[in-house]
Amino acid sequence: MRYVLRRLAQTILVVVLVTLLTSAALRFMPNATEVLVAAKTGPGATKEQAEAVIKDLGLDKPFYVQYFSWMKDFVTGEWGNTFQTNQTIASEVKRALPISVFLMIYGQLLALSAAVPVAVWSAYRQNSRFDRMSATTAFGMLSLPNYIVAPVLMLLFSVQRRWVPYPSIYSGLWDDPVAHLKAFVLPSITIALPLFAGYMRLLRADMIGTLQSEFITTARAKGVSTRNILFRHALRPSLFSLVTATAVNVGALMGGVVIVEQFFLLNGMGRLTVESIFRREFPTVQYCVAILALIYVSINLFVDMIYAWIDPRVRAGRALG
Amino acid sequence: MNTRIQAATRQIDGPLLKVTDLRTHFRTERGLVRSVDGVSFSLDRGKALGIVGESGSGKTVLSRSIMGLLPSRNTERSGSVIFEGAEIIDRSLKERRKIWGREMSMIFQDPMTSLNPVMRVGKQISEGLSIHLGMDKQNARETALKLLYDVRIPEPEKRLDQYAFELSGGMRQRVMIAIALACGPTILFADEPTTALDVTVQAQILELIGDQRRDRNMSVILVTHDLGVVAGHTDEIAVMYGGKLVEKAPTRTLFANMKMPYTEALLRSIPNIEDPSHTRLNVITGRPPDLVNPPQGCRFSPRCEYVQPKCVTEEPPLLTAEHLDHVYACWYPVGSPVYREKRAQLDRQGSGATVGAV
Repeated sequence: MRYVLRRLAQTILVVVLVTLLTSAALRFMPNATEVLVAAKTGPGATKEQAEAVIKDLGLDKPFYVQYFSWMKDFVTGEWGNTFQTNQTIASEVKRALPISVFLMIYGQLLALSAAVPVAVWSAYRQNSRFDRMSATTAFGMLSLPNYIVAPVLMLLFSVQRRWVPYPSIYSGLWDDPVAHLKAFVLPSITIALPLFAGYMRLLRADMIGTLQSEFITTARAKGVSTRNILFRHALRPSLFSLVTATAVNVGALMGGVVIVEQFFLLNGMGRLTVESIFRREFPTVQYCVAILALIYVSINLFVDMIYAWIDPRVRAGRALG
Repeated sequence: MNTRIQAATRQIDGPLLKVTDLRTHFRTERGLVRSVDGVSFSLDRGKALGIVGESGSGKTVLSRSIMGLLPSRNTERSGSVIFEGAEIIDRSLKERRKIWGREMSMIFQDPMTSLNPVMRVGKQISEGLSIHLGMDKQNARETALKLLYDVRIPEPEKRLDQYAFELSGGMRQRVMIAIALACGPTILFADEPTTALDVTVQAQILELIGDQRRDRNMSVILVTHDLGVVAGHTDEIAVMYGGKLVEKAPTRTLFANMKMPYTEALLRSIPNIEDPSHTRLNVITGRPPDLVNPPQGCRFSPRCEYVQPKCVTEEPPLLTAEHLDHVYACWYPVGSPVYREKRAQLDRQGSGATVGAV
């Protein structure tokens, strides 16, 4: 219980720090007020219009008051409207977030489902032809930038073979599953390639270590089949680095795959954030960052639970702490 | 419920296990490591054989090679291993796997690392039961509990759902024994089963192995560096040096009438409780032989106190002593005239009981 409370406090602290830093950065950049006013009113605003905007956004108040009132709005959900389109920011985020979540999940699933078997087999047959080939392929994938992969995939599968439409047209998973998957298949592959390579190498290294343990010999001497030795005995204790890397990538994939989103014209969180920055719509940026931070911290909380599932010793250590 | 799984009781003429000229060599960058270099012996059902030697004498490789447990890559294995009347050295991995855990089991040196850290103890014991005997979950769990009773672990019900890290070293080794005994093997290999344990626990574990051997009419091969360990728990002892068998005799005969100076040196290296305190420990000077380029002649000759010119040039064959079941590989065995002369000379020099004083 004490542990849960401590973790919860940590989570809140992280979100507060992240949003505080974002707010400060946006507030204290040179000519912040002027930039914001110009963004909201458009060029050629009168003095009265400008002052109204300043009052409306609370730009005349001290920073900490602004931050607290922003926090209050964030918690209560009254996020206000975007400047240009005059939509509610909440609706913009609500539109962009599922796209990012799906992209992240599909990318991770693709990468993991390919990386685990390849890594396990590479580790088992260390230095075999398969191992060397998979290593070479992995390094190749790692060094391919996604702005090369994305157009090549599009050329192959949207232009030469018209298997998937371009641009990716987003539809909900339940509205039209086929169109939904078609929209995500190419961007997911683009994201998954370098992830696969990284995951594969990580798990392979850990797995090689585990396979040298005495308890693997014990399992062999019991007559356990190779497949069960690999997947039942060796895989679970080898998962730590992989789980950590996967968790770190959740955050990176949600807000940080702007290039891929842009290529496939998917309106995810990355695009929303970056375009809001370009349009100087700082309130939108702030809410996007806050949401991403919240997701990131929640995932890490979840990962801690996975650690405990992987290794009972973590559970025991926690009970003592 | 009678779930005690007895060792199979097929009656076969001749010994249970017959190893003939077994060689196990590893290809390395330095060259061929001859870890086991022509070892022959046989073992009867229900008997306990001790294999004794220093680190690097090939005793662990020998036991794993008999089971066929070594990875096949970069390993050359030749000779013959006849188990229950059938040759098993050329069996495929799939066929060997049917033997592992069912007919031959092994327990290891370090119970801290030889149990799976993330799998419950009960699951680790019942795994073999479901693989070899096709037991369902419930049945396997009950049998696992029975096995935990057999290995005299305190509070066995509780242990089923615990993990290895929640148990003491002695309890872990008991769990290892339970795993090894699960399917009623005919041979149990115990590879330094007590080396990593407290002295007080060592005796209990050895006793447990002995009791189970008698109860189940199972053979035991006890691999250790410690002559003291095998003394009270084996019927026969085989001493290994540099990948070869250098002496083998019934335990009593060996201790009463050892022939190999190496065996003698091993025995002398055990501290005696009656010695006054601060008595210098007897050590065997030098290192175990390089198994890539083993010494010519007798492999122990570079370290032997009684070495003669012939020892360095000619390798001694296995000779039979006055008891027919006692063999040794030495030109000038303990008690021979040359040995006595050299011994007297050494004593005059004042090295006394200190074998190999520099």
